[in-house]
Amino acid sequence: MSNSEQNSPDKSFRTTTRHMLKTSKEYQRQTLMGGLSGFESPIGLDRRDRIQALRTGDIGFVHSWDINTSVDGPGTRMTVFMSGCPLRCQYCQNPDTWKMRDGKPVYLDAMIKKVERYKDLFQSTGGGITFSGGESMMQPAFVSRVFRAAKEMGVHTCLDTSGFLNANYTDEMIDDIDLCLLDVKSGDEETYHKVTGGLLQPTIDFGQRLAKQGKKIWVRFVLVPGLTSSEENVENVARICEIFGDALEHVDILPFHQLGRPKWHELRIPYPLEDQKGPSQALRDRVKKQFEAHGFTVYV
Amino acid sequence: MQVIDKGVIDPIKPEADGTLDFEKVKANYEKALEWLSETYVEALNIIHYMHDKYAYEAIEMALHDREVYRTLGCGMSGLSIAADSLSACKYAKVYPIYNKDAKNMPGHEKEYVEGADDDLIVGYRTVGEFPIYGNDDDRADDLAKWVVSTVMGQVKRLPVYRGAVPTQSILTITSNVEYGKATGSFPSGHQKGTPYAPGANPENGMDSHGMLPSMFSVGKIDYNDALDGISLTNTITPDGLGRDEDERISNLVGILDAGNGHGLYHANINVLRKEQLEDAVEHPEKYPHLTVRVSGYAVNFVRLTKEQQLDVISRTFHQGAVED
Repeated sequence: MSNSEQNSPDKSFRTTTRHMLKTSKEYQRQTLMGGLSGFESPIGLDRRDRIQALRTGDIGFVHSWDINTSVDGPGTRMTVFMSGCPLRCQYCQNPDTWKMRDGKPVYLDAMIKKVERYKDLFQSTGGGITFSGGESMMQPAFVSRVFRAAKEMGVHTCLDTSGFLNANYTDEMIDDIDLCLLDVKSGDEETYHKVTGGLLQPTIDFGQRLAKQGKKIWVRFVLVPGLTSSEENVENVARICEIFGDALEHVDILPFHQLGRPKWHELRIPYPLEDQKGPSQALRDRVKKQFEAHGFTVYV
Repeated sequence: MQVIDKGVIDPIKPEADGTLDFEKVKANYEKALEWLSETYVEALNIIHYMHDKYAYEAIEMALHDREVYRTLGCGMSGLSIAADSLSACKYAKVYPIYNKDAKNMPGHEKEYVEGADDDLIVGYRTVGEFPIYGNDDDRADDLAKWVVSTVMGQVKRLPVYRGAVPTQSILTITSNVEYGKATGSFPSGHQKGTPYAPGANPENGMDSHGMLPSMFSVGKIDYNDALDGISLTNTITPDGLGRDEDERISNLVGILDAGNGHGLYHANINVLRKEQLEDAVEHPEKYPHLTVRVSGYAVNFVRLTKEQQLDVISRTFHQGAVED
C-alpha cells in the first residue's frame, strides 16, 4: 500500500450503504465462521419488545458460535460471536459482524442452557466460555447475565473485546470476568483513529479497571505491515501494556491475513486493505522483540 | 430417491404445494428399509452358506473356540445424508425435480438421466433452513439416531444363517466414496456423484461448530444399535489444539475425555503435517473434513480458493505472502 494512500485512506467503507443494511447469508454457508445450530429464534417480537429485551439482556443478537481449542482463551471453549460492532477497523476480517441486526436474536435462557450442556467439557479441558464478535461489550446486559450464570456453574469466563465500550460495564459486571482478551489496536489516539475510527483511551481505562479488580488480561495486537507495524506504534502499545502490570499474562501478536476478504466483496463494502499482504518473518521477529524488551511473554 | 419415486415400493406423491411431506417420506423410507434389510440379510445368508459349502475356512475357524460366537456384520454408509434429508423434509420445503425439467434447470443439469422416464425424480430443490446432523442439534441428531435403530430393528427380526447375532457398523472410510459415485442427489443438498461422508461423520463441510459438537452428535447414536462400531473422523492442524506440544497433548486428551463422556465410541483424529496440508490442496477429496482454526476463524479447508489455502498453509507452518 503506497504511503500517500495510507495518509488519507478512502473512509467510505465506514459509511453504511443500503446494500450493507440487508442481511447477507451466503457467506455463512462457507464456514468462514461457525453457524448458529441448536438455537431456536424468538418470533413475534416487535421492535419495542426487541429493544427492551436487548436492554435487559433477555435476548442477545448472535452471529455464530463454535467450540475450539486454545485460540480464544485457555482450554477447549465455546466461543460465541455477538453481532454488532461500534468500530470499523480497516483490517477487520469479519465485516459481517458489524451490524447487530445481521445476527439472530437468541434467548438468554437458551444460551445459558448451552453453557450448561458443555460444562463438563470445560472442566475436563480447563476451558470455559468466551464471548467475542463483533463487539461483545455492545450487548452488556446479555453477556454479563450469561457470565453471572456461568460463574454460578463454576465455568471460566473470557471476554474478547476492544475495550472501546468501557462505559458500558459496571464494576459488578467486571467482577464476573475471569480473563479478558484485550485488543490494543494501536498505541496513540491518531493512529488508533485511523485504524479503527474510534478512540484509544477507553481501552486503556478498561484494562486498568480489570487490573484493579484482579482480573487477568491477554493483550492482542494485530500486526498489519504499514498500518500498525511502525516501531513507534509498537513501542506505544508496549508502554500501554506496562500500565496493566501483573494482570497482563502475555501478549498475542496476530499477523494480518486475508481469509475474510471475500466477505468485504460479498457485502460490497470498499475494502481499504484489498491488496495488503501479511507480515514477513523478519517483521514478526522485530515486533516480538520489541514487546519482549519490555519484559512480556509474547506469542505470534 | 427410490423411496420417493418408482422402484421397489409405491412412490409417494408431492403435496398440493409441490413439497414432500415429512411423515409420508419417513413412512415410505421405513418400508423401503424393510425391503432393503430383507434383501441384504438374504444376500449375506447366501454368501455365508456358499462360503461354508465351497470354501470353508478351516484354518481360520481352527483358531476359534469350539463354541463359535457368530455375528452377521451389516454396515451402513451415508447416515448423515439420510439424517439431513429427513431433516430437510421436516423443517424446510423440499421440491422434487423431475427428469424432464432437470435438463434445463441451472445447477441441476448433471442430474438429468439420458433415456430415463420424464417423471423420474432426479434431484431436489430445498428452500429454507433445516438443522444439520453433527452440530449438536437434537432435532437433526435424533433423526440419525432413529435411522440407525430402525435399521437394526429390521435386521434383527430376520432369520440369520447358523443363528448368528446380527450386528451393524457405521465405519466405512473408503467405500463411502464409491457409494457416492453410484448415487444421485438428495434433499439434504448432497450432490450426485460426490463421496458420502465417512462412517458416522456429519456431511462433508456441514459441521460448522468444531470437533466437539460433532463428537456430541455422533455420541447420541445408541451403541447397542451398532455393536460393530460407530466412527467419527476429524482432521485438524496442530494450531487448532494449542501453541506447543504439551498444550496440544493435554488439550486433545481433554477433548477426547469430554467426547467419551457424551457417548462417543470411536474417533479417528488426524493431526496434519505441512506435507499433508499441501496434499490437501492437490487432492481435496481426500480431506473433506479438514477444518483449520486460526484466531477468529474456523475454515473448512477444501472450500477455500487455492490462494487462500496456500496462505493458510504458510500461516500454519511458516510465512507466505508477506512483506516487511
